[in-house]
Amino acid sequence: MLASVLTEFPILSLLLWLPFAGTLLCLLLRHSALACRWLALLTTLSVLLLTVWLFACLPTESGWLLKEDYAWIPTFGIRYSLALDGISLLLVCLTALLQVAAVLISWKQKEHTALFYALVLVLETGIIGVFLATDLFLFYLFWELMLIPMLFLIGVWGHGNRVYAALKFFFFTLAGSLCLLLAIISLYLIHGEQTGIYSFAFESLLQTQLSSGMEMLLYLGFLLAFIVKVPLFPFHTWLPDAHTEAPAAGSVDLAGLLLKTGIYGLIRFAFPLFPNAAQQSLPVLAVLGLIGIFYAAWIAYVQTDIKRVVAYSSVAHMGFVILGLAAWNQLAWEGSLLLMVNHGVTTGGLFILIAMLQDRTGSRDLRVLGGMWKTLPFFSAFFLLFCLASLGLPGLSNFAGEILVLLGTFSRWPLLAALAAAGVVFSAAYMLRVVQGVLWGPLGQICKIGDKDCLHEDLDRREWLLMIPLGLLVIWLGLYPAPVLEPMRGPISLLLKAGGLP
Amino acid sequence: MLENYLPILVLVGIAFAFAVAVVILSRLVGPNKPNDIKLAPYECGMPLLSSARDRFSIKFYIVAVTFIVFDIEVAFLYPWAVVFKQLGWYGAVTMGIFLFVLIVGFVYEWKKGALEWE
Amino acid sequence: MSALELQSLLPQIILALGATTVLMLGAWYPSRKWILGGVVIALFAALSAGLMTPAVPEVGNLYSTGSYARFFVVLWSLLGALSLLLSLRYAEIHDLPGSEYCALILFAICGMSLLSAATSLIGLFLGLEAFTLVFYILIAFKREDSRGAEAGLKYLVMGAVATGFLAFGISLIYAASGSFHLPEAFAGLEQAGGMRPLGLAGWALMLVAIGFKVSLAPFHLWTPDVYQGAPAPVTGLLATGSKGAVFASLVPLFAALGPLKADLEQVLWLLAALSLLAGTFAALPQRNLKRMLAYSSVVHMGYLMIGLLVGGSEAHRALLFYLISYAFATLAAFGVLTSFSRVDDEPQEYADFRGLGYLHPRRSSLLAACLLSLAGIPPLVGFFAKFGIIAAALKGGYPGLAVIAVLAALTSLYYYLAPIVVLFMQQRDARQLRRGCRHEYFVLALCFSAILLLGVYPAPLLDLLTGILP
Repeated sequence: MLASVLTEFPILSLLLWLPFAGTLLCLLLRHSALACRWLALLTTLSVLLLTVWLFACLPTESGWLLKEDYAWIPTFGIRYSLALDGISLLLVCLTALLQVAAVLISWKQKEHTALFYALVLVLETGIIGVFLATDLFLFYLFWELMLIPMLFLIGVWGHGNRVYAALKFFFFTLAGSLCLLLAIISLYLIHGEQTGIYSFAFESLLQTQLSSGMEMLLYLGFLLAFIVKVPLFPFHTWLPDAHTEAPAAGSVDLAGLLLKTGIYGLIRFAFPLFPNAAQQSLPVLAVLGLIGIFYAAWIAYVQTDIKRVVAYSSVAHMGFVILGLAAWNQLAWEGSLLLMVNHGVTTGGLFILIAMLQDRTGSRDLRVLGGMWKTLPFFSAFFLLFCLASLGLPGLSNFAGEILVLLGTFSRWPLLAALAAAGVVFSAAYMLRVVQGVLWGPLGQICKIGDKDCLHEDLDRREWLLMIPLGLLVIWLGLYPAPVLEPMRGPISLLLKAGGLP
Repeated sequence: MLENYLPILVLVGIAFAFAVAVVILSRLVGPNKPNDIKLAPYECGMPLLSSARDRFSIKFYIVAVTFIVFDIEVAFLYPWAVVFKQLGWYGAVTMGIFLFVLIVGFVYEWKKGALEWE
Repeated sequence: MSALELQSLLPQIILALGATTVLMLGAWYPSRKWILGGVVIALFAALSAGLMTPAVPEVGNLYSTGSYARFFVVLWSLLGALSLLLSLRYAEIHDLPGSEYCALILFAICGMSLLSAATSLIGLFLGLEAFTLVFYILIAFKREDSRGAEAGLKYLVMGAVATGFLAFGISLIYAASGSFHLPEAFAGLEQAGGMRPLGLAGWALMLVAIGFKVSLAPFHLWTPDVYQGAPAPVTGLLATGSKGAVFASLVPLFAALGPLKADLEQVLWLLAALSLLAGTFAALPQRNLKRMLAYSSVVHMGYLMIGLLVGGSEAHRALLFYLISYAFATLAAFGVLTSFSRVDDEPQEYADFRGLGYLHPRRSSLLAACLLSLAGIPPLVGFFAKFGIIAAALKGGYPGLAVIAVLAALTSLYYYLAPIVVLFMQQRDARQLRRGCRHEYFVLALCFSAILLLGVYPAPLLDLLTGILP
């Protein structure tokens, strides 16, 4: 019964287009903010249930677990083909989870509510599409589809300097993705000339014979698009601005999901398509990742805006992920992907908490905040938990990933791994500075004792609902990451064997 | 074949040189004593009425356009008349269509009041 | 000309006679309802072109009646019908004479249809002049408007010069080959595997004229002023139909040229690259939507030139697809401008649009969608069009042009996003603009669905284009 549902029903398309249907409904119901809100919650929740169900039901094999494939534009050999393996499944789960969080955190969104939720839902379609597409053209479409909603989310509902941040984000990623487009088209044409069959299908393009110069050139096209999105030092400058100015939901999506699409593109497409060029680039990637860890930590330490600190911490974490990928062994890759998921949860949680803080105090400035532990005890407990998870405290989520990355890297580059381990200390430095600045010490300037504004409400029911699952997840992923590692193991070994195809 | 055109080229050259020479020579040799009357635009010996840069009524323009329409019509009618017999009915019908198009335009113009002076 | 030939040319005859009838009836019964009559006539012409089987393949050695020609008759007629529908309210508000306006648009469509069907240089000239003459009048149709007068005069003077170039170029080619008819006219130009000097000179003059008509750099300078001055629906037709018809006629023209095209390659390359660069840089600082669209259209013409330069059926298909996608997006953009216009002003400065996205959400979103489609953002049709052109350039061995095209696409985002930022990311301080009416909404919805559907599922149109290409 179950097996037949899984194979015969186009469940991947359902997963992909359910949020989009939500978008259309949202636009239809645009006059009622309440309806849109509930609709968005309902949609994201049903996507989440669907993915959790898949996660529970699907066997942990190394090949594609689900596939769909239809002709779409035969003239150009473009197909509508989706496929799901262990890695994409995890990332889709993460997407579904964080989107629910994004909807819940923007529950009080007042301005242009319908448009806001419509965009959040389109964004979900784009991200899920990126994780599922196996036709390169389709992949590129979804890759671009993520840009527009994000542009609007930052530009319309952002803070202060939002238009600048939105455009900066847009141009950085677009410049990268146009390189990707050129490389995809070139690969398509080269493959077509060699075989006579013009196709964008990933399986076919893998067979292309490339001269080493051309391989490197095309690889650079792919690489540029993906590492801008990751972002790897020195292409990270859009990220702090975008994170800082984005509304809460935007920050959650950016940090939790959009960065992951870059990593996913690397391991799914760039590495398998150009294995030789990829091997040559690994030392450079490793060094850039390492620089990113230290550079981001260094900059993060002097920031006064909490959001900026967390933004730079993302750059540092992504440095870890890239370092692990560059080590090119099973252990490090498992660590990298696990860290990726963990980073999504912890950073997402941190941005949510910061949004709550800003709702209450109206500020994110470390210089004027302080003493929250006394006034907002429950909030502060969660804040502390997520900060500790983010800095890699053993027993909490990020630690599991980081330790695997370090172990894996050590077997290949002992020196780099040793240096990176020191980076963990750095991350402790800036995260603890945030903890100290927000939670402890005397009450900040922003609320003097006896001030009426200072008597903020602690977490309400919606916020409890939001934080408890995330908090549990952080602890669970730290203590027992095996259920997450299990489905990834097979696909990773396949990817590492080169080819990347089950 | 091109060399057949050489005399024409020579003629053009001579004519151009002559014209230039006359202008330059009269400037160099002739006396040059301008006064207001000499510099005024020629208007049949009459005193000037107004500036030469004057506006004309749009009506003149419409009359001129109407004239061109009929002018072209006549320019087509004459050659048709010459070969009327050879073309026969085909020519008659074709010319009829042409005249019809012109008449339609003319009727439109008339109806719009372009032929009334006031 | 036999009855069979007349039957084969029926769509164009319907347009011309219909225009005349509307003009005459309008003289007795002046009314703006005639514009609706024009819509019916244009639809009727499109229907007859789409359904009728022509009796002869070519009329008078001038115009083809093949499927390629008829496709464009249908396309231009539909485009004309859409812009007439758009103009209904506009004509009312700006007090334009209805029957004259309608007749002129119909004449213009007729000229475009003839031009796209031309199989001879004379036919080309006639078709081109037929609608250029009409546009001289239409551009300056708002007589009280000084900008309109300026635009009309500019277009007239430059257009007259271009016509001179075109006529002279055609006559030189005729002198060299002894024929107007394609492909004999070009076959006669061959000499020792290359093109005769006289033919080269003729082509050079023709390219100047063509460059002017479709506003390729460096012949594009009239474009922004004319776009700005002309009434918005007229600009819509000028930007889509008149440029499109010229390109539609160029495709068979270059196909007829055959291997002789090699001699023109460098010039075409230069025209394409210059248009891409000049248009991009000029569009960047614009703060007026119409002027920005004018300069960006120069860039789009550069893309189309790439398709022409590469040649071959695939590149030509990409060109036509681009043309159609550009036409719908541009028409819709000007449609939005039309529907915003009021008695005394036609909002086009960015400042007029501040925060409009929340006051008039549907039309603003549509405008944003058009701009994004023009910029080539998926899933809108513009992306697929750009993809086709760039793929054709890479395949045809022009990687340099492909890179320039991609850079132009990237930079274009900057000037296309600027109005979107103004629409949605700034606070509204000004007053409400005009409410749209049903006809306008209908046209806009149609264009929007075309932009979206063709972007998501372009396969049918691609198959159709493959079928009609000669």
